[in-house]
Amino acid sequence: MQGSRVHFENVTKSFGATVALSDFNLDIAPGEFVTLLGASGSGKSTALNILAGFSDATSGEVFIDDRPLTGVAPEHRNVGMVFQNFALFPHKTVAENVAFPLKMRKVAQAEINTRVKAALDMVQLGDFAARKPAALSGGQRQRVALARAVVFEPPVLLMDECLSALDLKLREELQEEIRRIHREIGTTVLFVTHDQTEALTMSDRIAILAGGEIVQIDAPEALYDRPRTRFVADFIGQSNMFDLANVVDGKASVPDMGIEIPMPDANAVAISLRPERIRVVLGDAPTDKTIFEGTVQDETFYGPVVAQMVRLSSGRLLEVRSQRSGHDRMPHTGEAIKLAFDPADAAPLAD
Amino acid sequence: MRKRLTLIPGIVLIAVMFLIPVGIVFQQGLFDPVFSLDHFERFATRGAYMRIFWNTLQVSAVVALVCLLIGYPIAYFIVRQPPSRRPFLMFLVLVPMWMSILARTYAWMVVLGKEGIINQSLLAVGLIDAPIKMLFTTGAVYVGMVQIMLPILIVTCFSSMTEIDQSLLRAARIMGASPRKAFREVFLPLSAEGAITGTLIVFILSIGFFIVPALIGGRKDVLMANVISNQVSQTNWGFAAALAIVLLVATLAILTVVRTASAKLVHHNEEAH
Ligand SMILES: Nc1ncnc2c1ncn2[C@@H]1O[C@H](COP(=O)(O)OP(=O)(O)O)[C@@H](O)[C@H]1O
Ligand SMILES: [Mg+2]
Repeated sequence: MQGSRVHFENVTKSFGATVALSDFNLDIAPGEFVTLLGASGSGKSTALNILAGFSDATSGEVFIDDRPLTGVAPEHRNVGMVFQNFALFPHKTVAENVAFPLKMRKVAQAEINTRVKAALDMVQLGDFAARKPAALSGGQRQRVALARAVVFEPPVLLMDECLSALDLKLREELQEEIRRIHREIGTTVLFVTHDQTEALTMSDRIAILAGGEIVQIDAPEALYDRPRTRFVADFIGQSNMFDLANVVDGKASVPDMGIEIPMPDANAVAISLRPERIRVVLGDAPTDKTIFEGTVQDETFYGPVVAQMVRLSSGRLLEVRSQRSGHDRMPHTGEAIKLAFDPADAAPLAD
Repeated sequence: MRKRLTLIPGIVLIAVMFLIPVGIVFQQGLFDPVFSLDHFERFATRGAYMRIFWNTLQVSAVVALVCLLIGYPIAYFIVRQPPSRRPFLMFLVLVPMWMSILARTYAWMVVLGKEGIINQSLLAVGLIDAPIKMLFTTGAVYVGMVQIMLPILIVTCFSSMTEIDQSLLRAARIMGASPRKAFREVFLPLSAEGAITGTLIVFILSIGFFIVPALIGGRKDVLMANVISNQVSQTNWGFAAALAIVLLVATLAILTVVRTASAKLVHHNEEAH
């Protein structure tokens, strides 16, 4: 099966004075797995509901494969959806739930039976066909919901925080399962979560939403390595952010560190440095231009990794995470420490 | 053990309020002063009483079904409104219940009577030449009873409808169901239990009606409660009690049959989650 292209064009949605989505643009390639990641209230569900046809955009247009969707009822959009609260029909058995989309499409009974069985086998629930949803565990219910959403092979699959009601272990299992199913059926997936780890592990691309706007959309690695704003740097993973001064001629100074670094981006106002990208300099290394100094204020031992909070002479705190080599003696709490980083690892921030 | 102790006040209350009165009714109907079924024989062998008995069941059933047919759509309409507007609409539904049944029944006399609002209007417009007889008819009894019972059915349906998860309807739609199909496949089955319960409550309450048939019904619209009331006023306690027992047993029998039948057909919510 082939996934469809999904395209949001200048979509805006207001509820009275509340702007839930503003000038939302998103282009999803056929078969791509895109995640909307954002805090509660950032407009994720609003975007999904407009694509599903549950609510109308105030302005703008949504397309599936170049077909404009305004005025198309949900039942005519051929989109699969998994809901946060499972939304299984409590009065129908597992098999009847999964058969529902096929029944609505007037598929012949014999074919319904084979396809329902295949879908239930796919989520390893073949033995539960005759049960009612109330007799299933949370994870099993969400598997049924997943089977029901894909049994009619929709070219677009929507999932709205569909794992957030489950505990961590189940969530990880189902993440794996969703990725496998995505690989197997090749459908286009628009996935919604507020869990950054979930977004990072599952997606081809992640769109970070804040206040109804996409603040950055990129592949997980790019998003982690090159956040473009303080908001994104802070939202994804841990980050140390430093203001820049004198950004001219491809250079900039970092006043907190008292050093100068190459800075090709003339619009940068700050840099983001991941804690694991900062190196502890042991012994002398006078040639390294990005060496700066501080005092270890606190340290946390994680086994293979040690995290240290370092106080710079400007008073700023920063976090460093180092792999422990075991050979060299690391500075401990209260001792002076020398740090360095590769300027290429410093992501320039535009605001 | 402590749990059982806390149950005692409730059990005492139920015993005093229900079991003892029902026991007295059974005693009065069955012992006169020694055990005899004479009262029941009288009931079963006099055609008039049997006819009134069947009429009572039939009127109650019709009232219950008419309430269902009118009340279910109203409850559905209210539940489809934005949550902010629902309390006001439910308030409107409940307002009539604040008035006594007696007052409301007298009001129907004003509306349906020969000189009543309807006849006067129709005469004024010229649609009729002479007043239509509406008061003291079987139709008036139905109208009066339905008007009194409707809020009960609407409230019962409404509360079961508000418990239906709205995302189920969305799920149905996105999987290809038209609004009509989504209603039939999801909403109707999930609201059926509440609707059946409401209909049964209206049915049971209707069986005990006597003000409405007495005030706005015709001579042949007498219900069992009117007969019981008559017998009580003639101090025929034993026969009145026997009639009450017949009604009680018939009601329980009908309840059991409907409950058993519907248990197989409709979904119960209590097993969820
Ligand atoms: N039906 C609605 N009426 C009014 N405001 C709404 C409605 N739905 C969503 N909103 C508002 O729109 C914003 C985005 O909501 P939503 O898309 O549900 O966020 P998310 O799914 O990211 O948590 C929020 O401020 C929310 O309060
Ligand atoms: Mg949401």
